[in-house]
Amino acid sequence: MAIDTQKVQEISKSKSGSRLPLFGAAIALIVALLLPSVLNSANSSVYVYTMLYAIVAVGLSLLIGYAGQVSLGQAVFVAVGAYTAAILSAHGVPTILAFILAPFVSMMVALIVGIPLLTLRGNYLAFGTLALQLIILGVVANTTFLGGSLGIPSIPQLGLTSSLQLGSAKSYAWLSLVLLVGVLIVSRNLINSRPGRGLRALATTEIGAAAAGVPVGRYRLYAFLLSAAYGGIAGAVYAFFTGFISPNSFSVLLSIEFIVMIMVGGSRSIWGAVVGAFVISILVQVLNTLGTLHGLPNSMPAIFSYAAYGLLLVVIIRYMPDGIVAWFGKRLGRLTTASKNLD
Amino acid sequence: MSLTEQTRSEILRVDSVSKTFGAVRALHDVSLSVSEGECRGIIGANGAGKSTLFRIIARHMSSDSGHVSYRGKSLAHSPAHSLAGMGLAIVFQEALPFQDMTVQENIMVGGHSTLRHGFLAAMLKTPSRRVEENEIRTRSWEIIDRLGLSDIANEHAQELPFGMQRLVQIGRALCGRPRLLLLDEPASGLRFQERNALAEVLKKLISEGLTVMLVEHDVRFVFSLAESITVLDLGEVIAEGTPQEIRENPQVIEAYLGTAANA
Ligand SMILES: Nc1ncnc2c1ncn2[C@@H]1O[C@H](COP(=O)(O)OP(=O)(O)OP(=O)(O)O)[C@@H](O)[C@H]1O
Ligand SMILES: [Mg+2]
Repeated sequence: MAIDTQKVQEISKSKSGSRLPLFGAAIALIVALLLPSVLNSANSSVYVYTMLYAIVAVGLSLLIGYAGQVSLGQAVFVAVGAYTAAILSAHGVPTILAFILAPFVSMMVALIVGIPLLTLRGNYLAFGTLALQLIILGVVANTTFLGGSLGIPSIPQLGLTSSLQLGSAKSYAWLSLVLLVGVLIVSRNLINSRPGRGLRALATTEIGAAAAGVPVGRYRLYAFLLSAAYGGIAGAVYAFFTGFISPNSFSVLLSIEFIVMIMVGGSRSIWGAVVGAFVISILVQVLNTLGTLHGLPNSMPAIFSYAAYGLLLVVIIRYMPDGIVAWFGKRLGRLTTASKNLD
Repeated sequence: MSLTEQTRSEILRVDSVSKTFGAVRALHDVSLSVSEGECRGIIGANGAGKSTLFRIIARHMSSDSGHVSYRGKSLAHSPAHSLAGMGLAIVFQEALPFQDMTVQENIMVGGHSTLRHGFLAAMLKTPSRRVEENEIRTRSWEIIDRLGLSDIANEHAQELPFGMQRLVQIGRALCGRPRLLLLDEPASGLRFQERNALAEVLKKLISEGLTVMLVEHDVRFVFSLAESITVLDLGEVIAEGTPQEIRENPQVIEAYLGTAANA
């Protein structure tokens, strides 16, 4: 069949007209690469946490925005990754091996809960994961082997090889950046291929996706496992970086923060997850500073956080229902068409 | 014309299928047989049970009794998503395009069961993924070209007018390389010229050997394409035959064509 090649070219040209986001990503990457060398150690921690947040958020956006499922307890997979890394390395397993195993253990936990929860129709996953988080945190807090409610102190540093040991906050900053970029590339590859299109399709209509041949239940499970694996990676880095974890490190508030990141950035793009993570991370810093001002009660940061997230969600849902990225995307689109009309 | 004229084996068989929704008898003891390469029209008034029949064939809904077999094999234990891989494609009446996906991507989803690469290969961009992605991209362009959607290939499908969305759905179904294509009101929302264009496309596909089952209220559209027609009324088959026979059947005129002519 003869294809109108001229038209094909025209269309691919008009597609490459949207180079702006790529350009933005390149700038962001350069800034992110340079940043660790100028940050002090406190700010480096913020940097690491932001990257780790973003890794989890990208996984959650695959689940919410692409597979159409919500997990309200996503922090549980971060916790499982962190505890796996901490306990294995406390028992003499090389840290690099513990680091590699962490996402697999998170995936295994996700598999165990995912099979029953995802075969049911409806959003059982949302509350199922939340329940899972509460249960696992409860169990951990009462198990001496897992450090109990006091947690696990003095987790060793991550050794990439026997000679190359990560020590400084700066090295963790670069590691977490590399991991985030890797997660983004891999996720993008997924989205733009057969299984990714299947996922995106089933987020709109399960019946339609099934009619096109997409095994809906299995694909939802895979997306869930992947999001858990990303959580596990972030958790493992967190454990090695901070050297101390306890059930308090993975509160329900953290799970809520992940949801807020997705809502703020927009669930229908993995860039939205990154932007959301960035915004929330800054907000967390501001709130912590305000909440720990002299003379305020201990519960203040948490109260501030819930209030701020509630307010933020209201504003986002009211004014940018598709998230910040889509909001700017639309405005940029309008600008470029306007400027095109001018010339 | 192809060989199918002589070797017309049965591709789909519906055996005494019944379905009720509460007090509504949507289908009652419906049987029909479709031959390889045929275009079968299914007509009937609103609520006659046409879409219910399609949903049952496509395994989106189970019947209360009766059987459906495709190419000699019962579909009783085939999950809905496995049918596309067997060459049975359907465009539902109320089908929505996949959101936030371009026309081309929507169509490419239809090729899902003709490709193999899974999550891992996709994430790691293996060579087999590249080959398959190139193949599906080329195939989707052929279909886009065929359906005259080239100008809007990169638009988001959900932003198109309803009629265009229907065409995208048909393209999606074609991308799975079906043997049997079930179309539930494909021409609704299309303007006169678009209808003619669609009829031409379908004619060509049928001449290439595709079997089509067509539910459509536009009687002229159906009669111009179908070589045989089944008429449903209140869930029962009241007539079956060539377009000529159906046009002259008094029971059909009374139950359907009369009212359709008035409408
Ligand atoms: N899911 C359902 N629940 C209850 N009743 C249903 C359901 N689906 C169909 N029906 C009823 O079954 C009957 C047949 O419906 P069906 O959609 O098959 O008709 P149709 O021939 O496709 O009509 P139309 O030409 O309007 O599309 C109707 O009375 C309808 O109200
Ligand atoms: Mg119908």
